[in-house]
Amino acid sequence: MITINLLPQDYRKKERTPIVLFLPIIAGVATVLSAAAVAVYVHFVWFADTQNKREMLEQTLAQKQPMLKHEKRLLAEEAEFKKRADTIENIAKSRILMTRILDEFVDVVVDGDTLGEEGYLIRLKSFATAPPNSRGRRRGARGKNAAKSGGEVKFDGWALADKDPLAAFNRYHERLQESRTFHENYVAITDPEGRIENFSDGKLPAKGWTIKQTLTLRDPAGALTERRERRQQMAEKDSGR
Amino acid sequence: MLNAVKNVKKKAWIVIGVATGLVLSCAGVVWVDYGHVGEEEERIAALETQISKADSRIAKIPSIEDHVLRGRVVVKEYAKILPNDKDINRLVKRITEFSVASGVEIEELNDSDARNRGRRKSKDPFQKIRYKLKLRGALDELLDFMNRFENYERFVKVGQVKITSEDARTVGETVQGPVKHKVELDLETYVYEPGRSNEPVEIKNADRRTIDIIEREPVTNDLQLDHYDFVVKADRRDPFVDPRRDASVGAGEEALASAQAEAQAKKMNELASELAEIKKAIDEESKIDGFVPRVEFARRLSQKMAEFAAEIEELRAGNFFSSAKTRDHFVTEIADPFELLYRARKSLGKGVLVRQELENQLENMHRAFKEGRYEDIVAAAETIGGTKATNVEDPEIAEILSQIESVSGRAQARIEFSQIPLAITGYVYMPRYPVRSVVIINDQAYSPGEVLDDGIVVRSIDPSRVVFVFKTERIEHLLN
Repeated sequence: MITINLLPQDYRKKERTPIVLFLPIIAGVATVLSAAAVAVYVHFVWFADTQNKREMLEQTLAQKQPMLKHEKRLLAEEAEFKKRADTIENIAKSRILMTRILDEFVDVVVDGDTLGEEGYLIRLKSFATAPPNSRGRRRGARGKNAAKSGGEVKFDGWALADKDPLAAFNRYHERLQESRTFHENYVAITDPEGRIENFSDGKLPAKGWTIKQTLTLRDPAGALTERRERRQQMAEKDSGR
Repeated sequence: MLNAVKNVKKKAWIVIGVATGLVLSCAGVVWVDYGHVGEEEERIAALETQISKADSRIAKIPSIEDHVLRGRVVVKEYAKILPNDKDINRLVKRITEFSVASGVEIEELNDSDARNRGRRKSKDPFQKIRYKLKLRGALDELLDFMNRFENYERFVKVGQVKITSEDARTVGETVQGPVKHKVELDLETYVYEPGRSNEPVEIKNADRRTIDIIEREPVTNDLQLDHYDFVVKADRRDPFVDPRRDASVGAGEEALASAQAEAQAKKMNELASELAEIKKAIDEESKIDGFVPRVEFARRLSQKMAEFAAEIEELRAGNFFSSAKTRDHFVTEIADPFELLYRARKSLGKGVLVRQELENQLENMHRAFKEGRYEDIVAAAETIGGTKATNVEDPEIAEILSQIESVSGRAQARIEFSQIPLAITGYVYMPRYPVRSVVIINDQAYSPGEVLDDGIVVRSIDPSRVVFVFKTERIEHLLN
């Protein structure tokens, strides 16, 4: 049997949306709403919170800047004062006591006067000191480990003797190298060189071996430290008794 | 299902499209925001690290401030070795004074560095100042002149020195009087001008805190300038002067030198023997019995060592040993070893040790006295020996010895008192008139103030005790 609904369209019973269509619609609406909710949460809550937190931290850091600047200036001043202290210390240590150098050197030179046959008679013509080179190394010394120098002492003169002035010079040369002042104040001495010179002024000795030598002074800081260590050792030995 | 879908009208497709678009837009927003949040979190992490570092740096500020304050004081102390502006102005005056005192003649002085020091633009707070001098002087005069600067209160360095023997070029000519050599000399120093670099950082309560810091850990200026004390050696030959003699002169000089050498050798032997005696006495010192003899021995030894030290100083100052060899021998064999012994003795403080030992003995004696061990006290006093007879110079030791003597005397008195037979057989105590109380001793009645045959004085009587005084010692005798 065929039934025909002759009622006008408006009077006809409304047909329910088929479930197969209704469910996807609901799902679609839910999906859209959820997506919108997530988007709103992410944008207006999560992202905003994160931004706020970052801004707060930036503000906190900005507030600490004056203190950090103060700390930076303090560190700079600390470094500056350390540098100044080091400079003054280096100035103090850089001093070679020229009185000691010359006085002790002269002692060795005139020492030969009283040694009889083992002695020597030295006359000096000139004595001069020269500062160390710009790197503070002794001439010819190479490499980082080359000993520092405190400059040079140059002198010339004669080893006077009637007989064999070269032998007199050798005695003096040996004595100088064995002397305490040499070990304490110098690191090197140039090889001896010279020649016999005859004097015809009626004075004795009438011969002399010319002397021209250069002594390299020790680094004053090293020499000073060594002297102080030796004094310390003596004091310790002293207190141990 | 397929049919239903097919039946969906065009409008519906539009709705689906819009919905899909909305979902995709939301996803897009989420995706973009997620990316931004990630970036923000990275920034936050970085900021947190920075803040944490900043906090740790800020926490260290007080300690850095302390370092800076201390550094300022240290540098100020260190800088005291360098001349200040006023010193520089005075230095030329010093040059003149020192030249007059030492005898050198200044021929030329170039102090342009000092005069131009205010014009420099460098920010370096240290400025090197050099004085160039041309002098004339004998060797000892020059050494004295240089030494005065090297021992000057502020840092002055003798830079380059050039001595040219005045008669060197004219070998053979006779020179009369002390030869004055030509000398070129550089004197160098540094001026410290702290204001040349940056201004110091402002630190709150800097003055008070500096005082606290210094009180906590005092600043010790370990920057001591090395010194050399030059002593004019009148008998030393000037090697810059021609030592040669005329062929006809000189025999007597050799004899003189020989006699001098002999005298020096003799003195050296004497000093060596004296030093050996001192060493022997030091070894024997600890073996002496009795405190007082030991104190006396120590006093005599100290006196002897002081005299020996003075003699050494005198020989040194007077340059008794003219040759470097004998002088070295004197220094290494006599002066240095003796100085070690002398310093060791001073640092040991012999007097202090003896005093402590005596104080301990005195304390033991007091303890023994309380415990009634009087014989021990007398024996100990005898071991100390001669407390009365000895004239001890140290007043503190003398005081202790006098106390020992007093304790020993009291102990002796008590021993003697105990040896005197005293039979107390009764007493009458009068509370209203204690001086009228009576005690029966050896069948005789005594009131306070009365003296027994053995010199014992009855001091007081009460119901529990009789107090006697014997040889100034107060002795109580308990009744009942």
